[in-house]
Amino acid sequence: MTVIEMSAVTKEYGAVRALDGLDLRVERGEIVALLGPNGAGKTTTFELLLDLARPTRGDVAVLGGAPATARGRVGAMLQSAGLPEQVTVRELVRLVGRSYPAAVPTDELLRRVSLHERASRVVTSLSGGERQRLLLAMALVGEPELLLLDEPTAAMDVASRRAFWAQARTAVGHGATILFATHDMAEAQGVADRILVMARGRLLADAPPAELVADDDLEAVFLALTEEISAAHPEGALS
Amino acid sequence: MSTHALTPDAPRPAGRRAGPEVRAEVRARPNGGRAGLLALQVATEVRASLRSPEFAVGAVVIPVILYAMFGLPNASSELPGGTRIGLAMLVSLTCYGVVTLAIVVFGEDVAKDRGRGWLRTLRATPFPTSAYLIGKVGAALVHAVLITAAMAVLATTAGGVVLGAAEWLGFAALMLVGVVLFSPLGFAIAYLARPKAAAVIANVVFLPLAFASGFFVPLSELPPVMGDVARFLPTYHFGQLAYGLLLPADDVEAFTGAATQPVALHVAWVVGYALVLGGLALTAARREAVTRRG
Repeated sequence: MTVIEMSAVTKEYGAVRALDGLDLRVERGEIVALLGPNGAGKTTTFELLLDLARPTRGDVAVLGGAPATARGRVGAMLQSAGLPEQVTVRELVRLVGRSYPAAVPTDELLRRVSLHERASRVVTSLSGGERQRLLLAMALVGEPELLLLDEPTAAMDVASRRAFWAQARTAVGHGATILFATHDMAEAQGVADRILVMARGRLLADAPPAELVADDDLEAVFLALTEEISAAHPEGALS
Repeated sequence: MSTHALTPDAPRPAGRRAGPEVRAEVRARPNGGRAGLLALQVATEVRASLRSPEFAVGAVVIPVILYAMFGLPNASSELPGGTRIGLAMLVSLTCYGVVTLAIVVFGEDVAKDRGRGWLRTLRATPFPTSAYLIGKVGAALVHAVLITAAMAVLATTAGGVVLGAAEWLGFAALMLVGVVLFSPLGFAIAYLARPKAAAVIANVVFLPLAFASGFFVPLSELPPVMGDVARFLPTYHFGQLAYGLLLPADDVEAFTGAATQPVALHVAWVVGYALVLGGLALTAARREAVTRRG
């Protein structure tokens, strides 16, 4: 089953074209990494999939329907996610979980993401890595079929990253699909079944890691692809 | 290395299409139901606010201090109809307290959540923004009960105010209605102002409203022009409803310096403002969502 399908999607913010005819497809059970330099359109892609933005042209489908209809079946970690003040970890996960049709018991979930010892702490007292694990808990609490993770491990140390992906893989084992954005080539290569490379709002490559780096390392492939499109479309050119 | 893309003539997905579209959004049903979600949101908000000392000081303590400073020294003085000044000042400063709660605290709180990205985070979940706002109002109602109770304790123990149970209940109910009717102004400020400026703007809007409506100093003691301005302010009309509930008409006129007007007129002013400001706030909230959505 196709979980995400974007066809010829263009998104413009005034004179800026964030996405330029993007075609993208993700199947159930996949872990797909989205790589791209800053300004490639990764966050815009997530915003469209979450119905936080709407396409200027083209079609977006999530779990077979419009993104807004899939909200109760999608968990997300936004790059610029904000949290309220003076609310404890347990209260926040319980509150967000209550908005889903079904929810994992709060304490069980906090144990899974190793936040059970911080359950009574207010969220503003958490470290960067703990905050990311809280956001993961909020993404997982509704037992989502699709996880959309925008640079989810950016503030994490190595051990936290490993624990994070162990949890994410468990979710996939229960039938979830993951699309995540990252700047970390090793993470993309180590975690993803498939890697998408984006730049200037376009998809440049779509292949399994082994195929993408057959003759070179991923970083060299990434730089070659993104420099190629930068040369073809200098700064400011829309198309 | 290979590059794969959907072919141009691939079937169109049954999803979000670009361009103008009018479609009701399908919301996931919360486990525990919508009422359960609202109740949990209210409880979470109340607990969070009680962890915040600045909230307790800003919302509850200040009206009590103001009553102690300005109400108690003259509490035993009487208006011509026999009403103690302590009662009139109780009405004034409780009105001030609950309207502060609805405009300043509510406006600043929602603006902060908006500024720090919490509302955007919530929009990526099935949590309805309406439930968030209703939850905030629900928490404000709990806080209004605290304010009214604190004022009542001080007024009865130190101000010699004596009211029957029905009068206390009626007064408390009116204060709760006031929170609901003035929340749209706080909501409007939260959505129209830049998040960092919301607290300042809320105070710039509210303090003149409170002063011109006679909450700090009775209008009868202010220049007549203030009374002329007050007749156009929702806070003035809310105050008139509250005075009218507990004071005889002659004492309302003596204390406020304004001739008694029909209750329906006061209600119309307050409700009318609430509807206009609520519409403005909803428009601003939708405009923000549409701007984000392009």
